[in-house]
Amino acid sequence: MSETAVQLLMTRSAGETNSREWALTIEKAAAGDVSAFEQIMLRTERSVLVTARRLLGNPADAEEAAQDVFIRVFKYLHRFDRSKPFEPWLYRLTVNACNDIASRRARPGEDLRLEDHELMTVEPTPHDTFSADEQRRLMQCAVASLPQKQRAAVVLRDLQGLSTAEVAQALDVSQATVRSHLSSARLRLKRFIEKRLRRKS
Amino acid sequence: MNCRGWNPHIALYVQGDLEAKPAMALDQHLLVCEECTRFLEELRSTQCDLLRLRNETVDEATLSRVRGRVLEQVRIIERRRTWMDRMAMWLWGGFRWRYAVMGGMAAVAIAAGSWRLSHVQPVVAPQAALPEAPMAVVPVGPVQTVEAVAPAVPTLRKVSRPQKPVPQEVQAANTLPPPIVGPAAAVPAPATPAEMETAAGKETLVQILTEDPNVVIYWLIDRTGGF
Repeated sequence: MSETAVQLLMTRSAGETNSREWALTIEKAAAGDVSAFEQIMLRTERSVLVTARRLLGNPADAEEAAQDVFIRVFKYLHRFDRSKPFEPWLYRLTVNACNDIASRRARPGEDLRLEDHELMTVEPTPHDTFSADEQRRLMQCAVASLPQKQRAAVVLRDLQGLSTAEVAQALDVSQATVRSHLSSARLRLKRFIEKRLRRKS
Repeated sequence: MNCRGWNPHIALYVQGDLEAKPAMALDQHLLVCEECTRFLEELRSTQCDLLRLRNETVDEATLSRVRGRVLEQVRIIERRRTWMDRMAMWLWGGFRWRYAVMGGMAAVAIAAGSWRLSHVQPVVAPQAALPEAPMAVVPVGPVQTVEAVAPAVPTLRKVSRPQKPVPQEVQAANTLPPPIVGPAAAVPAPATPAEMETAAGKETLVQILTEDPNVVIYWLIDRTGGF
């Protein structure tokens, strides 16, 4: 057997061991083991917090959402179907928690969209082009300007790197709906950026 | 399809989300359409800017703050959990368990149902049993009357029901004591062989009254004693 084949086999067996360990950790956490739950949290907290931040556009709200997500995970992990992958389920909880917080924030008088808030901080510069930081912030504003469902689709597919099927599972919609959201969202983002660039120039 | 019609397809094509068949059609279109090719390039540039947001990170302090708060709440929840909650979690802890419990319950229900069906005797409807058991025997013969023997009905249950009055014409035709109407317990004692012997050799007409006054059965017994 060649060295490459041996390496491939070793990598594969390591992956299987990892997935078995991961399944066991989930099993323990579902039974109420706090230390197993802590391991799950250590592994997933970063992606949950980043996703929440991208969906809500506000760090404080994102922290609250992430907290909600993990408490829900602890409470309802025993209901999770372990024959399915864990990540889409976690993203689903994240999207739901973010939607809850967004709807709470949407009360009259409390509505402050990231678009307006952030654009106030994007001051026009004497240069014709945007700096990298400004471009990043402009894109954040563009994402925040998207309708909720389109934003969720773009964040999960393009920024979190999930497949269309996983996004569909996380958002509890069909793959065709996800494609429709993605298409509309990307066209909107393009229009938004073009408009801002035109305004600046 | 005009170029505007291709835009939603291009928006999917740019990240490889378009299905194979429309993607091939779009490939063909892009070979000949400059406008759509330009649109695709612009979309690629926007997507590049978007994908740069992937590099965003969260600082460790924020993560540990969130983790600390969550673990604090989790411990409170864990302390408040009763044995009932734990039992429910154990029972419903995964779909395999759920299906196993549901399947077991269904099996027990089916077994209990079949056991009940096989052990409970069906109640015999009295109306169905009565025609086989004549309610009264009224021998009316021109020469001699014989008390016919009603077949014994040992398994017939005692069912209390109102007794129907005997029709007047039947009572009038009775030369013997009044006919016995009612359950089998009231049927007269069978005739002895001696009585049967004296009756042999003469024709006898036996009238049997049923519960239904409109149904009267007549048996003609010949000299040999056969029916």
